Amino acid sequence: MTSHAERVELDPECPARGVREAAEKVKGGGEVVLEFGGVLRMDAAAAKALEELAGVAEGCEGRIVLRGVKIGIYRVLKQLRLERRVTIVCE
Amino acid sequence: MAQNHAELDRDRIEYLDGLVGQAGIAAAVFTQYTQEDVDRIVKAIVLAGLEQAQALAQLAIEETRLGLFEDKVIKNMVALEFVYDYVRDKPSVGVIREYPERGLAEVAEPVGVILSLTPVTNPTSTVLFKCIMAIKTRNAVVFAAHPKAWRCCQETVRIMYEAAVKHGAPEGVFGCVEAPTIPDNVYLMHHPEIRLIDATGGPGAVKAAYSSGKPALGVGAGNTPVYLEKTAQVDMAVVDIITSKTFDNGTICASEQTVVIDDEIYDVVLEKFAELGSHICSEQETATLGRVVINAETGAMQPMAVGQKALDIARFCGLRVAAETKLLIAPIAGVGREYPLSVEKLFPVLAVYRAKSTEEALRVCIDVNHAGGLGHTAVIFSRNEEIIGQFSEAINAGRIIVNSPGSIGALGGVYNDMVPTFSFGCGTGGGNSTTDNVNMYHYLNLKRVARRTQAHMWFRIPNQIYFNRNAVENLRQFASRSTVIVTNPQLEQMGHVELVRRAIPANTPIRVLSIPDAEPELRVVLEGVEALRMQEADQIIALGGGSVIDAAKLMKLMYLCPEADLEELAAPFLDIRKRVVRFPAGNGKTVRLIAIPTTSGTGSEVTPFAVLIDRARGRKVTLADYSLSPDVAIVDPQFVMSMPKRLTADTGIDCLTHALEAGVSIHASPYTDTNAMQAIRMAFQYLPVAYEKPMDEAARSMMHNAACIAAMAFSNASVGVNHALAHAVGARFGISHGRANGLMLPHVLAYNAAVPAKFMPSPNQRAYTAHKKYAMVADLLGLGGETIAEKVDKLVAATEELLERVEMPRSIREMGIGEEEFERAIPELVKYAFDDPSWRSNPRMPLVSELAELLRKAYRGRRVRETVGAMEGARV
Repeated sequence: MTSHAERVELDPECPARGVREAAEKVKGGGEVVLEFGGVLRMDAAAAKALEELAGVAEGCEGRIVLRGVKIGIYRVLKQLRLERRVTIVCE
Repeated sequence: MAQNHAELDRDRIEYLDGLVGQAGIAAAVFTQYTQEDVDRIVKAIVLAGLEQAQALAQLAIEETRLGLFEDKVIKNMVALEFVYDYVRDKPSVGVIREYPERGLAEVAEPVGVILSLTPVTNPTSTVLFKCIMAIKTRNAVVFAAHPKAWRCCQETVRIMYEAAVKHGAPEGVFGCVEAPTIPDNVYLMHHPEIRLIDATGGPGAVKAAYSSGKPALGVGAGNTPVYLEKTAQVDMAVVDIITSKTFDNGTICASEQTVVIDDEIYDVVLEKFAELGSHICSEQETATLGRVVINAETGAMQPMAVGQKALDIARFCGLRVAAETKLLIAPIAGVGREYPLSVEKLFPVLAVYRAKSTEEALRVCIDVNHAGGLGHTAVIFSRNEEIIGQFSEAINAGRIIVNSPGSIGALGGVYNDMVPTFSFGCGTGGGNSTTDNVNMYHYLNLKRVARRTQAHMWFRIPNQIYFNRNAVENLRQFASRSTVIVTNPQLEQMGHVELVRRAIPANTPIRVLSIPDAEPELRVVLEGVEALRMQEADQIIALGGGSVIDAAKLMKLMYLCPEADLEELAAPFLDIRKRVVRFPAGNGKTVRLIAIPTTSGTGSEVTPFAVLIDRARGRKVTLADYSLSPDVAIVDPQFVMSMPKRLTADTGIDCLTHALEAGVSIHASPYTDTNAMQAIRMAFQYLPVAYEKPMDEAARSMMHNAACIAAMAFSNASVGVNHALAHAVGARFGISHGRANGLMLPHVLAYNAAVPAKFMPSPNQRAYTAHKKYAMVADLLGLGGETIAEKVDKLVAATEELLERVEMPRSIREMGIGEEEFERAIPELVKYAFDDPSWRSNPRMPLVSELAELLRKAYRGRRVRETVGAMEGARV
């Protein structure tokens, strides 16, 4: 992880909002760290937003890093094949 | 995106991909939901559906023009209320079933995105049913309804979806294809995100689903035969059949198609049908009906008749019927193309057949069943359980409905306790994967969590063991009406038989049966059985070495169970509890077997084994079963005082090998260890004395006891690779069993003490312990050594010293066998050893190459400490 990474703390009640915000930050090709620590469950909106964010990052050689991903959420990412499009950091 | 499809434009493909994509996200997100979550959502959608049950029925009628409004409402209610009643208390998330006594649990895993095809005949009810199942199991569904029923299905999905999402279900959990076409379905069936296809529809859709290569649930076409047997309650049967066949104008595929009626009640039944509003067709009317409602070319029903009222059908056909007619009854004389009405008719036309006998009735029901209804549903009305049984055997149907209506009965939960469903599995007869009423469990991947179990073990030995000098006197306590002493001529000459005779209570009729002093063959056993029969014996005293005692065990078996097939009973097995062949239980007669050993090695007086020679095939077979164990063992040293030195050494080493192998067996237990360790200690201490001072009665007695104690250990823990190799070498080169054991023993000790190339599967072993057990033996013998490896070395050396002290040959070469001959024999020896069941309890699973190498070592006979190395691998 580089020191220039932008960090986004996700709101456990509405993780999709933070994920959408991250799309703006990654557009320049940088790195965005999404803090999932407080998120207990990923809803469909957040999953969709993360799919889109991954697409944006791939388009501008940006990097999405997910931290604090709980195992249930990791299963969701895996099922959507999203885990290969982002970097998941274990604590 | 699925493989591109030429018949779909880009917009359509994007639309379908979008539906599946949303469902994919929903399915993934759904995996995080708890049982409470899904139960809350299920209840919410059921309530929403109940509120709209009538509206949805109306929509279905308007769109499809099939069936009856009132019945469609009932179907919707059943799909909601009855299915909810079935699923409400059933766990579907996490552990859904546990079998603690078996260490098993089943954990539910959703299947993912389901493509669901729904029919025109039951459109809204099928969608309601599938929505409940999907939410209950945390799956997402893309519905592709029948093209003639998609609007009412789409509205049903909308109602369910909105209620589900409102109560927390993931967005996209249900989707419904708008204006679906066959190319849409084909595209979706091949879509990579679709995990399961649930096809409730016509044979074409079901076949396409199964052909897609995806896991699929399908239903088959029906053609329900009904047997109205002469003992049936006619009033009930007729009402039930009319209720069922007219339900939703006969659109349920489980409804009755041909009623086969026993001749005795045929007229009464038809009168009853007529009385209750059925029109009984004349021969000409039946012919007309057949021509109009069945396609003569294909033999299938005409779509225009499906789901229509009886009056309307009569009108199409130009039949004059009463205004209140609800059912058209068409008598037929057979089944097949000449009798068009013998096929499935999803409208209120019912064929009837007059059967002259039960046999004829069953035959016609089978014919109907095979005329397009295999695997689906059949009905019988009868009070004769035997005939119900015959019918159930004869008919291939997933649902055999007894004394109740076919269509509503097959749905489950109303007339019986079957699982409520709107999807009938038809098994292989209908080209399906299941005969079940499709239910929530078909929407789950069940994960079996299997915990390690420890098999129960045992320690079984004869009830009574008497030992020390004059133990034979204990024979006095055993009353007998007639006794046979099985022995051999030498023992008779030596006066041992007389010793036994004197100890038997006076006036007991006694017959002495002297058999050859060799391992018994079948002829000898059968002669013995004949003697037992003639003597009407209730007691057998086996006086002799292992061969005599084994013969007596087999005589007892064959005497009590003349039908026993010794060849079959000798079939190999891995686990005595799961063996293929069971020993016969006997006929209630009891015969006491008392074993008095005259050698100190085999321990046959307490073992459940008996060896039989199969002369015809030139081989030995070993029978093993605890029913073979003698009832009483008398271990009296006076019978072994005159054993020759060589026999003392051979049998003594056999005893030591039994104990050492039982000690490290994968079946060893604290019970067998106690005996094995004690026997090892006694053998090391007293065998040299008994060998060097044959008249030392204390040593003789201790070795006699040691052999029995070692046998108690190996009777329950079994032996190992040493015995497998010794059996091979002994049989091939005529080397006595104890001697062959001694030739292998030090090499096998070193082999078992090393890191195995292959471990032996054994749930009762928590670690590899053979080397530690050997070290424990070394400690017990006071051999010294600091580390486990040193202690093992000391045990191997002590064993070699003992072998030398009792003048055992130290190599196979010494037995006069040429090296070339031995090398040539190795493949055969290895095969023989590998076929031998003895090694299956060895702690280390022998490789064929390792068996060969052990044989070579035994041939060369170098001291083990000089040969430990490459083959054994590293020290543990």
